[in-house]
Amino acid sequence: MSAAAGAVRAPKAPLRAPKAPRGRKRFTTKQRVVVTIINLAIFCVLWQVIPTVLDIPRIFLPKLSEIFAQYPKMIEEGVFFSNVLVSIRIYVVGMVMAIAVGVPLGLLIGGIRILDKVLLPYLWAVYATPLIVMMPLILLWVGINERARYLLIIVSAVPAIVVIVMEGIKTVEPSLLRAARSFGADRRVLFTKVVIPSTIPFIGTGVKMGMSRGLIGLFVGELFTAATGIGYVIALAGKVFNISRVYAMLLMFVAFSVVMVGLAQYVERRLSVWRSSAVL
Amino acid sequence: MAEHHRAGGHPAVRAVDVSVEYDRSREKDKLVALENFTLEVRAGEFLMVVGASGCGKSTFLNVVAGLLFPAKGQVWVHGEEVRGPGKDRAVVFQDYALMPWRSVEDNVKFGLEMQRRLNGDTKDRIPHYIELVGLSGFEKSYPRELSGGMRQRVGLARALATEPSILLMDEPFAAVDALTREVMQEELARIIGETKQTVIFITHSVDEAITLGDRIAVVTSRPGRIKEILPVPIPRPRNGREIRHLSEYTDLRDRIWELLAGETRLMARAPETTES
Repeated sequence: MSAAAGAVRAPKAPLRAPKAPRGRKRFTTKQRVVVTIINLAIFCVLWQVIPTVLDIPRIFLPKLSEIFAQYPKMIEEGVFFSNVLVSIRIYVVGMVMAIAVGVPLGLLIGGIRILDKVLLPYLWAVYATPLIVMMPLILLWVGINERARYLLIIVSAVPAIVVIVMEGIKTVEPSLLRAARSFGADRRVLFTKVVIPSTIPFIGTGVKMGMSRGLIGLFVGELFTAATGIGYVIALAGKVFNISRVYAMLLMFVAFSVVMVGLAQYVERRLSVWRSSAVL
Repeated sequence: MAEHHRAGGHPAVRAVDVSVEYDRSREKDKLVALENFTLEVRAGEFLMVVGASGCGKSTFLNVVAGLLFPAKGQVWVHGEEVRGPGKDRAVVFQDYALMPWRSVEDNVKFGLEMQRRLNGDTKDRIPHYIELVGLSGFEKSYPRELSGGMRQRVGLARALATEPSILLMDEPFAAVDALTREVMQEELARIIGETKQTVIFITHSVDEAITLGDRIAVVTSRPGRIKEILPVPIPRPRNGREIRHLSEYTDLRDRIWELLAGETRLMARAPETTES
């Protein structure tokens, strides 16, 4: 393989080219952490002083310190951990079920052309409709209980997962299918070794979309059908004008959502490393 | 050339009166890609099929590969009629068609895996073929990390690893740069000299055809038909740059150009640019 090969053996390192910074300076991880902390600190300080300085009534925006004071109070009353944990449990279990249903369903429908043709308009309709219209029906069917909350998460998340996975299957490179066929791949091998692997980034995206939609399902369920959970505490505190508690739990919900969507984003990114710069 | 021949009963490939038509979505009529295409490929030979783009030469390759079924005519491989892809044939594609989520090593395994033949024995050949195409040290790299020429080396190793008796190459070097192409041609000649496969190599480059082939089949423009089959009277090993000055080379080149030039005008298309 002498000199000839040497000419072709291109430099290895620069191929993982640094993404063009496009004029923006890139921070190191450490710098980013520092910036984020400063950013949050400024935000907290502003929240603390603005209600006083602008004389905003407490019912609209309590001071941050009053909101934070709710946490020890809720823990003391025994309503904090129990309700937060219930939300987490219901969300995680609901999402696991939604993914377990949605991903195989998307692969199945997307993989069988006739199913795809027939079901696609309905799936899009379900995907496009806000689930809130399903609420009365779901309550009628299963009653006001935990099952209704799981169902709300599933109903919110599954259509997004299914539709995105189906669309993903359509993006499989025809040239890859042809290559596999040229080696005599049968339908099953074609599906497991070509179609599914090339759909994996879309599965990641579908799961991510499903997770953020599932959060809506969780919250709606807790607000209207629950006697436990973060949403329930918010609803209850709202009824008795405990605005600080509403904010305190809203912040919990925001934190929970950020962590979950961040997690989903991380998974999505890991699943699509090979797509090089196309998606990332 | 002689050492590339193999004694044996059946020709490697025999195509008789093959016609292929494509449906055209917007037109009522059908597009005839091949018509009465008849060709015999000898076992162990390196056959080049050269023609203008769109003449149906790739269609012929797809028929031999079993990816496309002719509307009329028949194709036999080693005396057996082609009814689909088979373990005796492997294709190298112009666009490489590598699985982007697989490393070099796993891509080379891919063909065997599709044939459900990946086991302890066949796994052992993988490093051999990776080395044969000059990719040792890149086993764990991903296609996106490789240059075009290196990707095609993977495509070649993937086909070779299934140890087909016939290698089908569909303009494999058309997408790589001219310098890399010359290197790849030399190495392909070396590799086939070792593996002694029958090769059907589609190209639109006259120079590539003469540099690599034992025989050259010149294909007419659509509908594709064999216009003439010319032997290459230049002994191996051939050096692409040196043989270009031989009178055998220039004569053959002129002859093929003459055959193609009439065709290209018929196509009412811009002629392909050549690299020389």
